[in-house]
Amino acid sequence: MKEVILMTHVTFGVFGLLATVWLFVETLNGGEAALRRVGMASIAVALFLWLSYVIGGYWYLNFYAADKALILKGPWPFAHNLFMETKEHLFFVLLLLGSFLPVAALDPQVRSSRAGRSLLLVVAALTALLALAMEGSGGLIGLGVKEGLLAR
Amino acid sequence: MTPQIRSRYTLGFGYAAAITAVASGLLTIAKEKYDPLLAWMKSFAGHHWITHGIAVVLLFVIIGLVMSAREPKGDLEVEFRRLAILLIAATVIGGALVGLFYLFD
Repeated sequence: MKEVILMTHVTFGVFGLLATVWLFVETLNGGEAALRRVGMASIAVALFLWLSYVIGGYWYLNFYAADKALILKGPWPFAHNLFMETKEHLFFVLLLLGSFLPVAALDPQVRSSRAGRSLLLVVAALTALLALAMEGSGGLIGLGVKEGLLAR
Repeated sequence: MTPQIRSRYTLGFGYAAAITAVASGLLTIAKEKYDPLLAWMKSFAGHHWITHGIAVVLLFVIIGLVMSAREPKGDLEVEFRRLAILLIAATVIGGALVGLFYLFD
């Protein structure tokens, strides 16, 4: 069951990343219909990132302790000390940007102005980069557990 | 372009996201370096990370609402450009505070 919870966290994170890329492309397109879809994409980003955060948080608080012990006893302690610690705290910045996106994207003055669309592109790009960093860190933490198991 | 009510929320919550991103990084360092704060955060919600999350959400909402009440003085295009630069800076600073702290701690 705990693997299902973990993979659900990862899956919603990937959905959030895909929705961010969708928002970026629609904003770049700039057509009337595309800009209408920007609002939908922004809601999807916020929803998926929040789901990923809540589910990931539940897993972290209830199941991570055993993995953490394995990582710290293994040859890759930095998988926890650097990557997990940074990931769990940097996720807040990702959540802030993801929560801000619908506020900006549902504002008609943002969508209709050049500077407003640039703002959307910047926030979407930052969100996508952070989401990629989260996915990469998650993979590295998983490898840290594997290295810990192999070293036993 | 004259700001309408929606754009006041865009600017308000945009600035709130930037301020909260940096504040979250500072809180991370503060709780790791000051044990009484970490102990209090653990006791408040059962885990310091939950308390951290509550603090981030509260700060974002409160600063966002307060700053949304502010009437933007300048041109909206300029305000949007300024906010984009501020959000890049805040994300880099917030990320660097956390990443560099755990890298060298």
